[in-house]
Amino acid sequence: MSVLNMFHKHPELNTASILLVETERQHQDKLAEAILAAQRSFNVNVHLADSLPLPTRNEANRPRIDLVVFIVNHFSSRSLELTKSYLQHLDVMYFLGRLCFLVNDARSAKSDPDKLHAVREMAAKYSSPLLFTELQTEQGLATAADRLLVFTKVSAGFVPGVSSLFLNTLTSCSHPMESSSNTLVDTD
Amino acid sequence: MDTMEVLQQAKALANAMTVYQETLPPDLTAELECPASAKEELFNECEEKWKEIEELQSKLALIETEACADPDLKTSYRHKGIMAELHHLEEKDPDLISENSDVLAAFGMDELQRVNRELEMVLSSCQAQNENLKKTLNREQEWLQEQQELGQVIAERAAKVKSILQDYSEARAFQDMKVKIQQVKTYQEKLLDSMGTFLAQHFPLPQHQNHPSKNSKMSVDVHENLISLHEILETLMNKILEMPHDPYITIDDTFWPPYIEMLLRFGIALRHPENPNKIRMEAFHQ
Repeated sequence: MSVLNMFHKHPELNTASILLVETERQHQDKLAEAILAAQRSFNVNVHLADSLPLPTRNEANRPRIDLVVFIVNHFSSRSLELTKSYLQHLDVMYFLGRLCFLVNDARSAKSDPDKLHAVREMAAKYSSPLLFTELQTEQGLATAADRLLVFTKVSAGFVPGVSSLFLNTLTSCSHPMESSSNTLVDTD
Repeated sequence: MDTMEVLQQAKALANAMTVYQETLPPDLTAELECPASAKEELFNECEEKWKEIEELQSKLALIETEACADPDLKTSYRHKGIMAELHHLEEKDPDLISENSDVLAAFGMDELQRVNRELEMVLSSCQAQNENLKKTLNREQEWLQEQQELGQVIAERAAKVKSILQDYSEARAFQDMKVKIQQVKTYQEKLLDSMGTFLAQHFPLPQHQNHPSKNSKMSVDVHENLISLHEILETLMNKILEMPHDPYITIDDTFWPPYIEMLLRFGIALRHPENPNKIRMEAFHQ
């Protein structure tokens, strides 16, 4: 099983790389454009993928990935399943604050609370941040890009004194209400 | 590039001139010209750091880390990582960026300028907010005043209504009624008085002595029993008010026929539809 390793590559000077993974490839391109257009103090490479593991033939050209972002389509349960399977191909170091889940348009009337709940549970299980975004609007794209860049800046080590693990303890998704009450009952 | 810089500077200057001229400190003069020795020193330091990074990187690359989606393993890694970080933070000595005073001065200047920019932004946003809040306050105050005025008016009206309600009592109502009755009675007497005077003046009883030649055919005894128009009217009125079911009075020879005729003609009295000897007053009061 090929694994995306965190520390097998050299970091580049003043450059961070983001990997956007989206099975349906709906919002990837626009989000990448927004990230590149956003104001920032460092260089950013954005890599797009629709699945993990990444193909091995480009392995040599690929820089070190500082942040992996999974865009989960909460309208389909298949997207969630696939995302879970992709997590197998990540180095354990990514789970220490270099991973981020992103859900689009959760405010839509069509959204299913059960599926949202499942996404949230997954994010909580891997103690990763879960961002709710509105990628269909310009402003939503810009906001999402800004938020991702904050994570990137920290996980690439551009903020002195703050590590990604430290930030992660503050931003990771907490367990949803029901499951937390369940665990409480269990411990009793 | 130059034009861009000039533009930006002009913009910043305009900002400073217009918005917060009195509150703005004098601009920091950027002295970014570091001596070459300081630059050299920094470069060397950076090279050293980079070498250090490379060494660490080669060490890291040797370590085989597992890929895992297993939350337990992940948790243990997390725990280890956090403990290591805590240890590092506790052990760490704060170190100086550089010994070189030129470098430090440049850093300080940079930092100050950054802080200055940020504070300017904070100031302008605060001013905008202040403005907004002032507007809101004004609006709210106006609204409050309106509401207070409204409240006052309502309170006044409520007090009025209350006082009216309190003053209202049976005795008072009785008193009012009495006064009204008294007034009506006085008015009625006055009306009756003036009617009596009017009738006495304009409708006297026929005086047979005045026209002995003309009314020679009339018998004297008829004239002697005649009643005045005033009395006829009074009888008619009393009858219609006291016995409304049978308001007719019978005409006898005490009624002077011309007066009856006049009353009938002017619609003041009506004849009984079956008995021509009976008349009643027109029901004016109904």
